[in-house]
Amino acid sequence: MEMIILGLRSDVLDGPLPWYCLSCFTCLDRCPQGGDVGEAMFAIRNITAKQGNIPEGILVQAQSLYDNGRVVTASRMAVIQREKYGLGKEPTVDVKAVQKILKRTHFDKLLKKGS
Amino acid sequence: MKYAFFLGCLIPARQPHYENSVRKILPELGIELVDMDGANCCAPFSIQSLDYTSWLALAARNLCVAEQMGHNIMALCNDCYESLLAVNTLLKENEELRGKVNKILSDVDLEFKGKIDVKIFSDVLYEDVGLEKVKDAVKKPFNGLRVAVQPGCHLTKPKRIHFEQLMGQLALDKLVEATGAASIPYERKEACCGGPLRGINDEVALQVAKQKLDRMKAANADCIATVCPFCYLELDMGQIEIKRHLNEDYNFPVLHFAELLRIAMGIPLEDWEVKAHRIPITKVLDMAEAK
Amino acid sequence: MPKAILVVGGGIAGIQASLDLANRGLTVYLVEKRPSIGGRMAQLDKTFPTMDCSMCILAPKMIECSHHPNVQLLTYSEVKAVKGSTGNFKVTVLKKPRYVDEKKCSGCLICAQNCPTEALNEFDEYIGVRKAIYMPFMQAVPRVAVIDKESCVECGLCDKVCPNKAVNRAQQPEEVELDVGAIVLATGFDVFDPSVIAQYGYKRFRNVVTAMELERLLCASGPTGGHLIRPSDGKIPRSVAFIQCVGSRDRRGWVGHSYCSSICCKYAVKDAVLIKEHEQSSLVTIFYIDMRAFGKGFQEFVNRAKSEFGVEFIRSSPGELSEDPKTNNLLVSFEDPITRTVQDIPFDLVVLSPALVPSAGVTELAKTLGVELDNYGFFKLEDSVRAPLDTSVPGIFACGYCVGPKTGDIPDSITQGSATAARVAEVLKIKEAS
Repeated sequence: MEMIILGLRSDVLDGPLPWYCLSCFTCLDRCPQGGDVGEAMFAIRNITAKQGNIPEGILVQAQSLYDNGRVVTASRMAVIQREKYGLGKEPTVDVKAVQKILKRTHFDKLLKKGS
Repeated sequence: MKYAFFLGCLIPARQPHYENSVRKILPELGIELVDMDGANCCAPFSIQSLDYTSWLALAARNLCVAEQMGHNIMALCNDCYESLLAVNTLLKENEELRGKVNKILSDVDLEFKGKIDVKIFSDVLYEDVGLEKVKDAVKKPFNGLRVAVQPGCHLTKPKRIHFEQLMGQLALDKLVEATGAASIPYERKEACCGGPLRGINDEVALQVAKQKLDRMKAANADCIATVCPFCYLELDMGQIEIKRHLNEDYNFPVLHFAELLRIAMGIPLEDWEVKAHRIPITKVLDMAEAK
Repeated sequence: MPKAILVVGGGIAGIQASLDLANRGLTVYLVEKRPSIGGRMAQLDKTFPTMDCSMCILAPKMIECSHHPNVQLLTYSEVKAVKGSTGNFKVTVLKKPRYVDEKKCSGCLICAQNCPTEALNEFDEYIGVRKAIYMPFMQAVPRVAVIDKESCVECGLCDKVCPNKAVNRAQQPEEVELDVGAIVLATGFDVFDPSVIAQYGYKRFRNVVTAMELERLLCASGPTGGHLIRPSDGKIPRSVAFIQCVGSRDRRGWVGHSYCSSICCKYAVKDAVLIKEHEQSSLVTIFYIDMRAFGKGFQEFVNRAKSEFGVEFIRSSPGELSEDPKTNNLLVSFEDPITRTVQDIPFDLVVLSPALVPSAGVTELAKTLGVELDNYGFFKLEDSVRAPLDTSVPGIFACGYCVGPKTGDIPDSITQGSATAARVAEVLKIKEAS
């Protein structure tokens, strides 16, 4: 927050710092000024993401979301367990609908930039 | 009572034993779960971090699916809960955002109307089933089991969306006590488990988890109970990783609250479900004694 | 038209208003919910910035009230119903039973000496204990014992030993009807319970106290005889931290209050100096956001605190406190305003300066009187320029902290009390003339 106030734009946006946030919302919870620090962090990450600064771990999730409608897909073990123990197949996702939405919000472009 | 069952991504894909326990106990307590066909990822904070609008639209799509079904949503995962509840509240209150999102949703023939509510599993138990009914369903109470409850960040923060006070006991604590166990107080119960940093900075993630586990150790916990699959993963798998990298042994079995309740209700866990826990849970199973 | 006024609240503002009105020849009924008048000032050790002994300047006024031929004290009483309008109010006051006959009790306290039961002393902010039959505090006015029925085990010992046979267990609540021309509200404040600001650990960590509790620890008439010792082990704290604005200036809405409580900066500096006077070698640090020491002599007092007494001022609001389980010391975590890094400093004792809020029971009282409250729960004033002491109901006036934290210090409360007395007299005179 200090860096933003001081105008250190590249220090904030180019480094890994924004992605260290746990999104735990304790900041938002405690700030007596009602400051939306948590929301500000999301905004910052949106900006850095647009610049292509996306950590590998998140990129993998995002790609999976676009391809399968889910950030993580069933492991082999889970598939076996589900069938064997009566849980049935993983619930179906309307992947086409997801992709339509994500194309509209230019999410796909974001993915290309990040990779 | 019927609920649109929002499973999220992680649970059906990696922790199906959690899903199994929930499916086994809720019908007994009078809650009918209706599967949400076609529902997509809730859009957790990692996606929200990439693009705000995508997050709104994806979450809104799920809310529309539930609206069409005519049921309120019950989520199992803290992150799903936070996402869906936050977007539901935002779109109900903010006309401009609602208009923006509905424009995107019109592409897939959906419209957000703000007709349903979002609840998490523990609140459904506390509010719709009620403590009395839960207590009655308990056939093998845990006598003297010291449970360190990990509520998880997104269960109770930010407070302006989640209307529970952390002062006094959470609904989750009272539910744990309804099974006969004790929900013990420990330092900074509301702190994060470190899960969100998995895959981004594993070292720091483990440090955060270690802090949490140290505090639970200082309070003499026997085991950990949680609602969130990320906390579960971070604290269960995390203990193995901490043993490997930082040489510290805690031996805290980590269970989903649904499993704890299931055991207390006298419905035994199947073998594959027991094995799904990295830290062995035998001592917890042993502590449930018939009334 | 009755020549009597009702004053609700026996703190310094109410006392001043009562005395001024009584000196004009009006009869004053001073109603106070506690068993003695005196209010918050009676609980303080010293006042700022003059460092006068609080009780020493309060007690003469309290005595004046009790001796004044025109003042009738109705202590341990509450207003239950009001009818009528300016010039002609009919008020029903409920006198709670003390179970001790006011006319017979001489204040000797032989009863308390023999009482076998103890209870937490509300006057000492629940730090010390008192007996089930007790004197609210040594300088209580009226100097009459009172029995706390909830803690009393009905052993009857007090009855046996009282030389004046003043104990009367059969006493019943008594309703009194008063005819008054006007009503003055002076109900003061309560201290906000900072346990909802969970990161400061109040009620969880033993050595975190509120400023009011500190006052009682510092006061010679308090539970430790004025020796500053800390709750966990009775040791003298070698380092004390003050945290300001706990619950004040809070914009979140679902916790705390958005206003500034106006006197905490001043009293914190006063308490810091007092601690330094008690223990010169102790480290005293005030964590603040702004130092609001307005008025004559206050900034000078702050400067003296720094230069003469060595009190440290750090412009930073601590993020959280954590407790060392072995020593019960507190680790204060804050951002150093100069190096911009997070630092942790251990302290033996932490004092929180909590927000000051309307007295308990004000909401009910407002309903009974038909008086409006503002959004903070203080009495709403009709017009701060043209009628700054009138409430929304003609004939009912308010002064002191109960109208909000604009009151900067004790002299302000006294001034407002006097002003209200003048206002009341003016209004009644006009009413009489018409």
